[in-house]
Amino acid sequence: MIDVMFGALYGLVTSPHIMGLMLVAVVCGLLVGVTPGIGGKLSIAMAIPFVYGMDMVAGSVFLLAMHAVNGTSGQISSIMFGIPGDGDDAATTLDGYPLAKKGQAARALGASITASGVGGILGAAVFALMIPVLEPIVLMFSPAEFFLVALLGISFIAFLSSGDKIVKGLIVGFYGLMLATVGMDPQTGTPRYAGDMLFLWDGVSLVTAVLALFAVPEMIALGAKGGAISAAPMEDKNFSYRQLLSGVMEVPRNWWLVTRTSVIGAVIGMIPGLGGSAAAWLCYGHAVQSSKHPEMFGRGAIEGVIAPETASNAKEGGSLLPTLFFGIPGSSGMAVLLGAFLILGIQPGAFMITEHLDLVWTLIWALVVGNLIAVSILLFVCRWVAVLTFVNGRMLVPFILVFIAIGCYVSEYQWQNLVVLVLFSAIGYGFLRAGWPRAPFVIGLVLGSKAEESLNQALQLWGYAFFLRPLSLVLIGMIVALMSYAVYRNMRPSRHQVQIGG
Amino acid sequence: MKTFSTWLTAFMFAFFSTLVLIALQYPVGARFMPLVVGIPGMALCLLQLALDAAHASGGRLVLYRFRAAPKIGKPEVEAAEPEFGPHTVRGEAVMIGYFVVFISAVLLLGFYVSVPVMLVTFLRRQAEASWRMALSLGIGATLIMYLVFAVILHIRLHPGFLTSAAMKAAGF
Repeated sequence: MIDVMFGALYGLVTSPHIMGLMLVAVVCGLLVGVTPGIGGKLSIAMAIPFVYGMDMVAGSVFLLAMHAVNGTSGQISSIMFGIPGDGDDAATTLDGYPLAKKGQAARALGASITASGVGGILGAAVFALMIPVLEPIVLMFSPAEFFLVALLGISFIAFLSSGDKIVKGLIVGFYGLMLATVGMDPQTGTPRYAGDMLFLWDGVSLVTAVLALFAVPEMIALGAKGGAISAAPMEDKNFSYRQLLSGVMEVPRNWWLVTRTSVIGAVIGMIPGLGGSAAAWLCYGHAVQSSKHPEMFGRGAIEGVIAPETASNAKEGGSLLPTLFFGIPGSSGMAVLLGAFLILGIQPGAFMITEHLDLVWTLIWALVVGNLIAVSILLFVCRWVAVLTFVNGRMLVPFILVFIAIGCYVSEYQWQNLVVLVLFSAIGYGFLRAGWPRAPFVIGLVLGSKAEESLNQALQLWGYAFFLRPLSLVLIGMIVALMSYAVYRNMRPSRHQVQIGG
Repeated sequence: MKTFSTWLTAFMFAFFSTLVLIALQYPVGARFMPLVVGIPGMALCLLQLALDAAHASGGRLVLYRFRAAPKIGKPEVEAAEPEFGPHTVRGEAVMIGYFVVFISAVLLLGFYVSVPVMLVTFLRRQAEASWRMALSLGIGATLIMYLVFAVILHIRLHPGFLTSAAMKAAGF
């Protein structure tokens, strides 16, 4: 284990090719994190076509590093202008913006960027510590369990991304599963739903589907609405590097809070359905509760900046664990990342421990090194990166549409995929406009073929009795419990309705 | 009940139903998974349609009470403008038009003709950039695209059906 662990680190840092790719990925991830309208999921979807020809290690390190540092730069607009880029950053705004208004923007940025980097590293460490614990559990899984895990994954993601609209989330997940059946049937060789269209015999292009469901609808919406995320005037809030350094030193000064919130964040990341902004808000609450002067929170307490930033980056390490070992993405961003991993030939599951442990360690080290690079870059350039918040979204849209069209075409060199892109984009935009979750589609599409293969194997091995295996019963119980809770949430009157009506 | 979401659910029901009907023509082994997925998909769509119907009747009740509130002295709450609605339809139609025309142009004329035209048109008309900026960004981006894909990566981007035919007719 120790050999593999340090061998992976050595392989990573001594490869100029991979380190160069990581540097590009970190810079892209930071720019995407701070630019209006381009989220983490969208950036991965757009990057997928360009890692298509790469080997498994280089491609996965590139995508993971880009995804991991997305949130690190998102906090800049929260602190400088009081405008959170997404839900994760909203908790940081509570104390970050008051600090900026007091003329301590640099101190808040120094603390948040360092806390974010340290959180990412500690999250990766928690993931690493969990590997020996998880190994026997993962190895217990047979094809029967993998089929049920695929269903559980879709249910979790539908629940995570849609909340009380779980039925819509499940419809989208089943839509992804249905599209996964397009192409040559592995058992009989029948071309399902493909007819004479040879380009469909290998199935629907995952790159095209992901771009159509995520990237195109976001660009249409951004183009229709226009504008930058920041409407506030940009002011230089007495930025000084001395102050930035004092902010950096706040992290070791609050080391116990950083450690606690990193562990909490990583554990929350491991639980599918609890990812997203839950980690940041829970840790913000924990910082308030454990503080000696809670009255300072909301008025510019540095702990209120450190705790959510540490947690929201630590959860990335945690959410990688269910993604890699069980095929259940810990967050919707991880769902897209999982799709990209499958394109690169990385199959989640027990093989990751038995045959690809070196890759697992490489990814853990990529999280660590990526965060170190991101922190080093951001501490120098955060003052200027903030300017990107003022970019007009409509200036970006045509370039990203060109990027999408090229990515769609070069992924398989089939012009027909451009037609598929338009057709699927119509449905993707429909989902966006109607407020339906789109992440379950990806997990349905990427796990569909694996689920079918596992189901066929399980039926051949045990017949329909595979449902009665002990671990299968546990998984069925989890699916039923999740569905019951979701139905309860759907049926009960919402607080909003009670307040208005009552 | 006739909301966009409900129409989308009805569309998804039609989608699952069509695929299930087609799957019935396949051999037993090939149709198993489409049926395992498609039939629950149809059931979920029907459940969602039923939920929409239930919420629609519940919604009317809430609206009635909400309107009655000012009479008893409660402050009227001003509703926030929704993200999508009649006020965004024109912008959305324009954006969808740009996207469909761009992809059609790529198929017919190829990337190297469509990209600069689309970039300049969009930047000038939608982003309200100056002619100078729109032209320099459009031409610059096309040159970078050519350098990266054609010169460095040796990737042949789609040349376009009409462009190919015209080039062939011209003897190139």
